[in-house]
Amino acid sequence: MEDNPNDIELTLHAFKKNKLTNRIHVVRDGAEALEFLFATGAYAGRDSADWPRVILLDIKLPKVDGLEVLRQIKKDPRTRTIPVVLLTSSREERDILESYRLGSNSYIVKPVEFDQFTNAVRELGMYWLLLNRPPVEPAA
Amino acid sequence: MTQEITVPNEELSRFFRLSIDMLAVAGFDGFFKRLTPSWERTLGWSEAELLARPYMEFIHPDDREATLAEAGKIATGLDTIHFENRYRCQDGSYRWLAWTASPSMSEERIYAVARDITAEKRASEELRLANQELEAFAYTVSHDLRAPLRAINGFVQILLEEYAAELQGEARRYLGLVAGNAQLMGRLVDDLLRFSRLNRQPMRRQPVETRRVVDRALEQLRNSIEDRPVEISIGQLPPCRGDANLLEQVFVNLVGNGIKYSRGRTPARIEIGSRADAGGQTVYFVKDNGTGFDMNYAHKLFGVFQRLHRSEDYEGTGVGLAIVQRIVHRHGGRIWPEAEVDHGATFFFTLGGDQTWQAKAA
Repeated sequence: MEDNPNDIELTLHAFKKNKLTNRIHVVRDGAEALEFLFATGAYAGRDSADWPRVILLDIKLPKVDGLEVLRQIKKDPRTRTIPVVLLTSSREERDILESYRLGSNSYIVKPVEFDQFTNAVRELGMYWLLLNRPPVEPAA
Repeated sequence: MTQEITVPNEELSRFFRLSIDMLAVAGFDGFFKRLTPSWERTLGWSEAELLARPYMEFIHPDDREATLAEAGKIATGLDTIHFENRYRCQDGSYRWLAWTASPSMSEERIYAVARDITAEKRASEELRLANQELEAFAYTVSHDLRAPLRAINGFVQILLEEYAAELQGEARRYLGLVAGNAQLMGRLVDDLLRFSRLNRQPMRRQPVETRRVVDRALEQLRNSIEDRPVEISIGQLPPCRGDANLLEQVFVNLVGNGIKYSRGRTPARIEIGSRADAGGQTVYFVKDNGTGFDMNYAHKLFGVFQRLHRSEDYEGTGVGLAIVQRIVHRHGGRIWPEAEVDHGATFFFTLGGDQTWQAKAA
């Protein structure tokens, strides 16, 4: 869930480079993010039981902001257990605290240095997609 | 006594008429009894109008409760040293008044002086808003500048790593320069962000063991120390009152600078200590035996992004000392350097406020 096309391209590139070839779906604003997740609106035809394994969420999103998206994800028992990684430029402490308060699973400040960016993406991809075992089914 | 007030002598009466401040005698019954002409000049009501109604009716509804409490305090015999509320003018606008007042228990009256502080209030509110806007601006700018920098860096790195074979020597070098500059700008933006955040961070002032703060700062700096011989001596450091985290930042930046600019000295020597000035106030200092600087440029040291050395010689963005100065100023203290080219630099600072007890504690 990211609005900046450069960040999208770089993130996808970093995934590809690290051979993380999982299915990746990109949504460009907070409203679309919620529609995708809960299979409503433009995504009404999506199989709503097909939950993402991990969500990368930019904090600054058009329409519905990232923290609001996070709040909705963590509020709904069906999506509450999906790991959410916040990706953002903001180092503001209050953003960090707020995001933890809402139950994000980790928080990564997008580094300006590309190597750090690639590393960050690799590590989080490895961790959440390969190592971290999601609950068998979301707690009802 | 009463006689003197009800029939003032000619001299007092002249002053009363001339006063720019608004003098008032009010009864415990909630009515004004006597007012200077400055009331009419300030609020637009005639004296008769002001005397005819309880004064509470002229006070801003939001300030009535506080005013009632203050008047109640005065009625028990206490003086008001400073109190502020808003009075309604005849044209419907409000003016801020600052008050001093004192009761006469035998007369059941309050003697009070009010001063119109509307202009000051407005100016300080405007200043507060302007500062807030400036901080929001600095934050937004530095925040939003990071995104394009990430893109520049990212795509340049992809070119360098994955298209290296197709690039000629010069092309690779230019791309390296692009990457280097984007990274430098990233650091500038981060530093600007840190600097702007400093102003919004609340300050928690409490007793601080200065020595502990210095030890923590040195711990932070260990990486930059380890790769060459640096002798650090720590003298007497009396405790102080301040924000421990902010003071740690002061020592990290000052000692970090000392280490940086004493590169090339063997050994590099840093001295951290304190002394008492003529007034008994503690002056902390950080001294190095490094490259120093020309005191003619000392006034430039504390500006944001100001540097006295070439970036090829000494890395840095020129924000460290600006941050140090800001922290010292926020503590009500003062900072100044003493230096000579090639003979090291010393930074002295005080922390202001009531630090007198520390002399005893030391």
